[in-house]
Amino acid sequence: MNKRKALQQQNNHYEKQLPKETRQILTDIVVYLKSFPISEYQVELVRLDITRMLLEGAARGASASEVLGEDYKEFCKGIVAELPPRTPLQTIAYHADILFLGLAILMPLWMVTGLLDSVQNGGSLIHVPVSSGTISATLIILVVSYAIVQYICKTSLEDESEQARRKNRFRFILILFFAVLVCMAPAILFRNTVLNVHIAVYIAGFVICFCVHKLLAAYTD
Amino acid sequence: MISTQMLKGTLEGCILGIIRKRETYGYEISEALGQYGFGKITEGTIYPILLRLEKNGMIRATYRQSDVGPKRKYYSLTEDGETEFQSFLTSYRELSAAVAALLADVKGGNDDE
Repeated sequence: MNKRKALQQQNNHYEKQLPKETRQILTDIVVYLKSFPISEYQVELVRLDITRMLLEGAARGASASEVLGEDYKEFCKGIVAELPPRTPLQTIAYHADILFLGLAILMPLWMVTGLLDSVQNGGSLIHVPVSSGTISATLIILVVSYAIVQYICKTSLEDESEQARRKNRFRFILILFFAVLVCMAPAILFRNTVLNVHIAVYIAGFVICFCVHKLLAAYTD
Repeated sequence: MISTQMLKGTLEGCILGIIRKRETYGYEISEALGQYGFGKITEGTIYPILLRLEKNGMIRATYRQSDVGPKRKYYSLTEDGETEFQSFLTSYRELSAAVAALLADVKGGNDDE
């Protein structure tokens, strides 16, 4: 287990000891910190410090805002200013990791749908047909999912009432539903095969994407 | 209440001063600041300053067992921290003397009116 994962497990353990409301605030803070170009390991180090402050605060009967101050966003910005930002190489590796992870998730899905299509059209199971639709859908899904994650991180500390939160959650699910439709539409509408990939080559491609993702994730940790 | 802008320039040096007295941790520092008359300064306000001081090698952290949660971080001053504190003292005394001279003059002017 690498340093970051060990620290993450330790943090998860301590976080469970926090009162529910404080735990939610800590989650929002950590999600917001993840919207900045700092490594996951740095986020976990800071999370440990904040968890310690909140646990000791809770033991004294102090709320999260009494311990950290009223403005959580300012608190996070103050922290981020003191942490080492990702280097340009780490930034490239971080984005490449997202790309390869996305491909590693989508490739098995496209393989199953492609092979089902092939069988329906009397084709073989030796070649995986790749359509222009699946290529377009892959690109759209990667962009949309990246945008959604960024949106969640950036807005995690928006000051909202419980009612507004619920309304926004409903709106978000609706947007997500339409986003899925937009993402999948090309794969359904444009089914013309642009290339047939041998199943062994396809699986090798998937394994390579997965391994590259693992290597990049370890590098950016 | 001391304004945030005024505090910004002096808080770092004052925190160094508190740590210089004895090894201490975040909550104790915020409590000490309150007792000195700085008003309510939360741990959240001083945490980024402690990160900066540690990053710049002015203080070092040691982990010790706590009653609750993860091990507590105790801070002590390094040699660089001592030099920085002395530099802060000199600057602050100069500033304090300059402000005192100005206020005495302004007050004198007011008395003349």
